[in-house]
Amino acid sequence: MTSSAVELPAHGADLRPRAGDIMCIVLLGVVAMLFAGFTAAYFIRRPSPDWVPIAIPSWSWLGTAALVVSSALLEGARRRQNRSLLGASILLGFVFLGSQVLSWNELSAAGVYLPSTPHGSFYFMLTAVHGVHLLCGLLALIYTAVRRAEIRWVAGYWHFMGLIWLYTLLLLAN
Amino acid sequence: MAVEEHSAPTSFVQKYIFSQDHKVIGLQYIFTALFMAIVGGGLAVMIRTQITWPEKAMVTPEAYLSLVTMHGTIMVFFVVSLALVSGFGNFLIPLMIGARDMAYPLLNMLSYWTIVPACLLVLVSFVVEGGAAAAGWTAYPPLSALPEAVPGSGLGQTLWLLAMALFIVSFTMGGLNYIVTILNCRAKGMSLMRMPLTIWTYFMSSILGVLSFPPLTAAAIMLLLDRHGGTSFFLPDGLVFNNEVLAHEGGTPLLFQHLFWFLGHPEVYVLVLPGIGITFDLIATFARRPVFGYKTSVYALVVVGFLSMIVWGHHMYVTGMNPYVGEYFSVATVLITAPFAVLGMNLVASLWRSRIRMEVPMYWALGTVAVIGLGGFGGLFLATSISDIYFHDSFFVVGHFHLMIGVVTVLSIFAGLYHWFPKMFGRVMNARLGKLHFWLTYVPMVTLFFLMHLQGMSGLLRRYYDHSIYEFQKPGQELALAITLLTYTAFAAQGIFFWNFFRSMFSGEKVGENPWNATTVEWTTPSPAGHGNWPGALPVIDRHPYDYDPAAAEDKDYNPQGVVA
Repeated sequence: MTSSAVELPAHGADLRPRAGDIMCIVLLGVVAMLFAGFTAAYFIRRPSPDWVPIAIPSWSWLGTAALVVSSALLEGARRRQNRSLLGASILLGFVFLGSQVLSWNELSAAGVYLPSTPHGSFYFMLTAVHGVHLLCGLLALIYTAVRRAEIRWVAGYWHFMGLIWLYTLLLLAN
Repeated sequence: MAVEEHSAPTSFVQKYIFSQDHKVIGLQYIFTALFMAIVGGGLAVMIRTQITWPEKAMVTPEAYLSLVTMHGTIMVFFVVSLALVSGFGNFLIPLMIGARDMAYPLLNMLSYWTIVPACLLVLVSFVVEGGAAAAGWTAYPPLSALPEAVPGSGLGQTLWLLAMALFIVSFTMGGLNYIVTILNCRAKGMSLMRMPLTIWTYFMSSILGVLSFPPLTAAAIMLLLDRHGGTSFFLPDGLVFNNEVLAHEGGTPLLFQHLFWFLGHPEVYVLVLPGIGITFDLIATFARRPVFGYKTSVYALVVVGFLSMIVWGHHMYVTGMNPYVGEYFSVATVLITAPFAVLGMNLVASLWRSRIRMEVPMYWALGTVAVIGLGGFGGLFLATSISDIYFHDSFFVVGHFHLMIGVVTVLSIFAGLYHWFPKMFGRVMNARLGKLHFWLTYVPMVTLFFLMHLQGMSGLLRRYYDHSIYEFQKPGQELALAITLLTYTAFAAQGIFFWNFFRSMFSGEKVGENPWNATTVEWTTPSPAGHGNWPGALPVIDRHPYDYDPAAAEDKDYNPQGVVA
């Protein structure tokens, strides 16, 4: 057994995935599992006879457009290291959050509140949970802009939040 | 090497309170867990006292439900999770992979300081109006969703939910940090297949934790909205309270159970796997030979981890699920015995023809192996839906899960404490007291939980305030006194541990860097290890973690894994 000291493996420490990459991927896995939990709840709750569908507020569609453009701009900022594109992307992120708040107003003006119908409850809850995660992304984007930090990981998170939103919208609209 | 560097602490506060050093944070977790263990153990003593002498009515029925709930919550989340996963995980991972610190030391510190308010909320909830949460550690609605249901469903339940939210945030931060550290910060030459099994178990446990906690977070958010927002995610039609029909309709309490157990089952493995990992490392060290079947153990761990995420329904056989679904959950659960048998066999086979040194940590490690077998055996009856329908909610279940996530984890925590105490404080704990502590803990704990299986077979049900008023529960009550006396013994025996632990910290025998002649890389640095873990360059790993030679002369039968330049 004493002769078991073998050659060092060919791969060195420098070829390992970067810590930020691992962190980013696992964090996205955590968020994905959170929304997977909500998805399960959504499909289990929906067949109930008290399920009254609501119409998706029109402000949400505007917000969706803003978020998609924001992601595209951020991708440009990442590839060209362009700081003004980053600024525009942050701005559109706030437009999205604002339009989400307006979509809540739109719903409550139509008489749909948090407890009114389960579909509405899911709408308010999922937009809020997504909004909180998006807000964290916005803070990270602002930090990146101020400290001129690397855009790579925050861009990954931001794109993923965009995808989660499209997924949530698809879930709620169907 | 840590991704974010941090310099050596200069003040007391930096060094011992708001420390970013993984060793200090690990010890902070362990001390917090030991304190919470006294609380949780005290609750167990009160529970046993009440159900053994129900006529004395030591506590009210409402308070009894709080005792049961908080005992489970504290023990699972604030003792075993904190000590075994957060405590030893933090202390051991960088040391055993040859890193200077965790990948994100600041995140690590935040993770600890998120758990402190969670512990405080749990403790405070005992003295708020209505008392602590009373819906069980599983917090099933509607009891947990209606603030007016029982006294504990009020503010106590809200504090419980907040504490759990903080716990989940802290645990997720920790899990992320572990995964990045293990994948990214290993010393040169420490390939994945050269990692000690302890590190493999922390890796699997972290992956399970970060993937299974989020659905519980979703459930907790919905529960909070049901409690305070008027929604009906979990609350069904026609709940009558104080002769009034509640406005909630259409919700399904079963949904909560699914989301809870989607976490709850993997959580068992989050806790038990590191215990098994520690046991593997100790068995190798004190049996003086390489662990048997290292690779198969790694693969078995991965399979156990995967299977543990798709078997949660076995906690819910009596919910009226489709029998085919129940059958699926039965088969999948019983499948876990295959990789688990591999782990158990490898543990036992590692002892084959070895020269066992019966040092104190080895007592605890061998005890763990025995209980894994005994506890796992009981699990077969609960995995099978046919027998589980009878055993459900009986003391058989209580005995079974206590053996697995109670005794296995507690034994491995003590195994780890006795084993790595020299690395923590540069001294060893007193061996005679350690052995006395072992026998007075091991025999009573294993016996009492075994007797609980018998109680369950006779039909004694859990969470009952007073069994004596039901004719059918009287036979099971006969063992109650014996179990309670064993509980008192095991609880009192921990006094020996605390005395030994704190006395040895200051006046135990001083030892060098490798008192056990062990091979894993943490034993190549001075005890206790300083800031940055290795005083000079980091070690370079040139061999597998268990290079013991059973044929060589004693004291020359080991080759440490790391070469320190």
